[in-house]
Amino acid sequence: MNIEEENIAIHLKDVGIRYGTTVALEHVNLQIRKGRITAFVGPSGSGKTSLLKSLNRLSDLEKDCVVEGEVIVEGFGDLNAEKIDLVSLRRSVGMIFQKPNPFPISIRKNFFLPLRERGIKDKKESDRRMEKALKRVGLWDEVHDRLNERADRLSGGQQQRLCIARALVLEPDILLFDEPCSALDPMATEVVEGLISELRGELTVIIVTHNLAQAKRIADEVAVFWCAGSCKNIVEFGCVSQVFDAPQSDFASQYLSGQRG
Amino acid sequence: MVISLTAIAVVALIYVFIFSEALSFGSNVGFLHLVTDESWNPTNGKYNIIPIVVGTLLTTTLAMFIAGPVGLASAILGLEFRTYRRAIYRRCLEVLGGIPSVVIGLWGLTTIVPLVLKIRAPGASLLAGGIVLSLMVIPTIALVSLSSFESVPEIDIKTGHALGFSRWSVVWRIIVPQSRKGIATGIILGIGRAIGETMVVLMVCGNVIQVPGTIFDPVRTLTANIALEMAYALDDHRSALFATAAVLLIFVTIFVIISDRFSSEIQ
Amino acid sequence: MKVLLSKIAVLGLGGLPILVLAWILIDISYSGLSEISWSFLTEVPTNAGRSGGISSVIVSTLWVVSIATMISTFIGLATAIILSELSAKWEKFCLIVRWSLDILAGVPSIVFGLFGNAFFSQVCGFGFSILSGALTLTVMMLPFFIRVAEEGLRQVPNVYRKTGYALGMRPLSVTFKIVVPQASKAIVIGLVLSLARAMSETAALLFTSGYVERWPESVFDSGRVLSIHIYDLAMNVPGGIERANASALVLIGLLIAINLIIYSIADFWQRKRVV
Ligand SMILES: Nc1ncnc2c1ncn2[C@@H]1O[C@H](COP(=O)(O)OP(=O)(O)O)[C@@H](O)[C@H]1O
Ligand SMILES: [Mg+2]
Repeated sequence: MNIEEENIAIHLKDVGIRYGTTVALEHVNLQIRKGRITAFVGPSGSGKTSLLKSLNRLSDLEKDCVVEGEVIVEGFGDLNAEKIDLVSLRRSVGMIFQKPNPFPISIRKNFFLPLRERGIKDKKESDRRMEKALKRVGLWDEVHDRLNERADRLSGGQQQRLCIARALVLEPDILLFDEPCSALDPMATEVVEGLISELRGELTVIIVTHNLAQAKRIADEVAVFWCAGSCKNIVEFGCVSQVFDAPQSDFASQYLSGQRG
Repeated sequence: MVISLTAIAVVALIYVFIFSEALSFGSNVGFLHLVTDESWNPTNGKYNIIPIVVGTLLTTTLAMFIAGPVGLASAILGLEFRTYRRAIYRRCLEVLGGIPSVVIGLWGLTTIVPLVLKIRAPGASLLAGGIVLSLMVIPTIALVSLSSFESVPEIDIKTGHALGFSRWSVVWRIIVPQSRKGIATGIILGIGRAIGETMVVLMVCGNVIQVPGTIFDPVRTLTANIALEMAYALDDHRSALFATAAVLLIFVTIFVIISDRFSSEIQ
Repeated sequence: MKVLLSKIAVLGLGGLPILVLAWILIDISYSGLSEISWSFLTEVPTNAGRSGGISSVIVSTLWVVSIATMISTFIGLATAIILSELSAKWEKFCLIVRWSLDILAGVPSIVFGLFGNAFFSQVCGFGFSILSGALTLTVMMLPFFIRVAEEGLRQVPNVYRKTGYALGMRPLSVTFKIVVPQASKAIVIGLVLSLARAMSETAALLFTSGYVERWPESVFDSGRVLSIHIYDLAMNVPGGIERANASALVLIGLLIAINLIIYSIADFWQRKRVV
């Protein structure tokens, strides 16, 4: 698949990730389109989270984690080659974790802390941005009268939307979701899913999910991860209809039809 | 980085200071004097510390003989309480452990010493020292043992009950044996504390330099000796006191290393 | 029968510490309470402490303890942060620091006293003074405070650190705005406990902070602290026992007060952080 240069948000060339001597991924080549939603699917332990973390260098925090090859992120160049500013990288590549993880402080402070770090110290301005982000995730009506209450007292779904809002408030270009719905009930899942779909066109989104139906519903493109023996790689990549209806590789067709994984 | 270097620096400094003074005793007087002189009489150049070392060892031993069983029994008693009652019980032991040693010493002086005196004069003695010193150690042993009782896996306790053990047998045959290491750690910590304790022994042991004939005789410990004589010690006498401190420091370092071994084995 | 006997033994022996605790507290209150009056708390000791009060002694105590607490908060917190946040990066270094702290924790207080006398009083030239005493106590308090604070910092779930970084926060802000506030309660509790220890300490101060009963005028003045006052009254002043008990009661009262005050501050603080 060839995409024009200016439409590529992330370009991976022969990327490998290992923890000490354990290899998690090898020879990964991938191009992620700007403004699209890309889903990462595949069995547990196939390196989806690892790859996600290499995109905002959260991998630096894992012990002995080494990322090799070229990880080219638009606006930053090759993360491995150049001395990049981690702080601004992480501001433009946001991440939402599997378990909702608001800081156990007030809702307002959850927004003020990262905003202050970005140099927005004015209270009014911060309030305005927080309100905008909360409205965007449909949480404003539910929480506008309890902004000073602890964020970790909200329901799971609300917490996860809060985390998305908190990431959005930094105005990132790319947003990474690591199984954002797996800790949520079906109702909350639907809401969060809808939210992610609405980001299409505006942000580049990558979402890791175990739920193939979900990938089908919201993603434009799908990457199928597979790890077995010496194969630790992406075995299939393409647009949703192509991957689901006519998978090229055996691994992918078996995984997608539920026979393996 | 620089700041946390202070931790290392301070340890190094302590060792340097104590040992350099101690070594100057070695070069000016000679360490052999510590064991071969006929008595401890620093103003006349006599430096035999053996009776004082014996004093330390005896008070510590006696204190441990009391504190061991009592501490263990209190820990077992603690198991009888549940939830918030256990928390209160713990807090009481912590309070006992938190009473300043000078206050415990004062109490020993006004209460235990007269009681011992009723049995036999002079009252301020090895026995009084052992009893009061054990009070300083009991909370340590009890609290550490209780914690290790609590970390015995629930499943083992349930198995015991399922096998028809009585509650008492569960405690005695399952919980206590599985906590041996924890109890040992508590006892080692306790010994370290007893050897290093100053105020209590200073106030209730009588401070006579002698190898006691009975437990009713007064004794002087290494720590008390330093506390008593440092105020007026000069030159060689002063370095003799640092030499005794060096002996203490070595004792304690050994205990730290042993208890480190123990606690890392537990984990 | 055997079981019954051992049950009785456990109950009897095990109950002893609590009984003795009550005994000590009642004894000291009984004989000390009658001596405590307004003038006891506000006057300077006279006649070697047999008459007058203990105001200057209380002031010296507070000076010594608060200076020691301030210094060890600063050094201790920094060390604890390094040990908990950077232990992966500086493995060897942290190992050595931790080992040093373990040894320091076991050093008998009288040895700290000797060291303080040799180093702070003589080499640094502070003489017998509040400053020498406070610095000696600082060295003594550090290992305990650092251990508690480090434990508290480690309890903060890693995910908060990761989230902070993922939101583009600088490492220092992640530490000071997220991790340290989360651990604030443990840190404050560690501080109170080590403060209480400092206030209880006698042996380390025997040859560092001095015995002078006067009201201290600066930190370079010698100042008699409560615990030393108690010791002196009990051992060296005939007829000083009642006064010693009264001073002991004041010391225990101060310890309780410190505990209560700081625990409630910690509580308030945690509540306030929410808003
Ligand atoms: N911090 C870590 N240290 C060591 N190995 C790890 C670590 N994180 C993940 N791994 C290993 O890397 C492989 C990929 O894990 P991960 O990226 O979490 O997969 P996924 O998210 O697809 O389930 C697994 O084999 C896992 O055991
Ligand atoms: Mg994962």
